[in-house]
Amino acid sequence: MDCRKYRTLISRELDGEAGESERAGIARHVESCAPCAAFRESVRRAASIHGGMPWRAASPTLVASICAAALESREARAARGWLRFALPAAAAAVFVLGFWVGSLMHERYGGESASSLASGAAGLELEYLDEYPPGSFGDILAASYEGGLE
Amino acid sequence: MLDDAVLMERTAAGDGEAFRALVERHGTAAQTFFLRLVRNVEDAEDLTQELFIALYRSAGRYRPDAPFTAYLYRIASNLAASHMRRRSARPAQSLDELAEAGFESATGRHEDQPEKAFEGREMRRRYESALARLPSDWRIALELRVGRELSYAEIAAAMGKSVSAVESILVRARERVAAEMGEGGRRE
Repeated sequence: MDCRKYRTLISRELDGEAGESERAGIARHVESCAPCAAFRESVRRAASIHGGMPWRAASPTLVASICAAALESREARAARGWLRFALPAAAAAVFVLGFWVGSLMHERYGGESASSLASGAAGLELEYLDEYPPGSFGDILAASYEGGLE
Repeated sequence: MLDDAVLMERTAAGDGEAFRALVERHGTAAQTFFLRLVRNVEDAEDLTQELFIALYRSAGRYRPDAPFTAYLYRIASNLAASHMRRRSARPAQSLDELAEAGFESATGRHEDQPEKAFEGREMRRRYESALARLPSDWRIALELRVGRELSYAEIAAAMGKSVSAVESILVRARERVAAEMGEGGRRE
C-alpha cells in the first residue's frame, strides 16, 4: 500500500483541500491500514489541540502605540527625505559660491600675484645658483644654465 | 466594511484612520500568530508592532491583486523566522503558563472535570514539546494553516514557496509531531 501518498491526502483532507474522490480513497485505505488510521486520528487531535492554543486580543493600548509609532516613522521619513535633497543642494551651492568668489579674486588680483610668484621663484633660483663655490661642478652647471658653456 | 486593499490604498495616501482600521482588524490574529511561535508576551507585542510599522511603510508597494493576508503574513513570517533564529533574551513561556496568565483558549479548561483537564494539559504539553523540536519554517507553516486558517496558496505566497512545497512541509511536520507524541503508527 502507498502510505506516503495517503498521508499526504490525509493532511490535505484535514486542511479541507482534498476532493471528494480523494476523501473516498482515504476512507477505503484507512479501513485496511491501521497505521494510517492512527495517523489520521493523531493529526485530527493535534489540530484540535493547536486550535485551542492561547490567543490574545490586541489591546487598545497596543493599537494606539502602533499607530503613534507609525506616524512617528512617517514624520522621520519625511524629514529624512527633505535632508536627502537639501544636503546635496547645499553642497552644490557652496561649490558654486566658492567658484564665483574664486573667479572674482582672480579677476581682481590674479595677474599681480602671478608675476610676483614668478619673480620670487627667479630670485630663489639665483640665490641657489649663487651658493656654489667658484670652479665647482655646481658653478659650471650654473654658468651653463645662465648663458651656456663657451 | 471597507476591503483590506482599499484600507491599504488609503494608508499609502497617509490616511491614519485607515491604518488604524487595519491594525484593529488584524492585530489580534497577528499577535496570536507571534505569541504561539515565540511563546513570550513581550516579544509577541514587539513583533506585532514591528509588523504593522513595516506594513505602514510598505503600503505604497502593496498591489491589490495579491491577497492581503498573504502580504501581511509574508512580513510576519519573515519577522518570526528571524526572531526564532536569533533567540530572544526573554524566556519562552509554556502554553500552560500562558493559559494561567489568563490568555484565552478556544477549547476551554475543563475546570469542572479535573481528569479531563489533566488529560488535556498532558496532551498539550506533549504537543508543545513536539512542536518546539520542529524547524521554524515547519512551525510557521503549521501556524498559518491550523491557527490562521490560510489556504495552501496563501501560505505559499506568504512563505515564498510553491504550493507543493507547502503541502510537503505540512505532511512532514504532522508526521514528525505524531511520531514525537508516540502516535500515528508506522508506515507500511
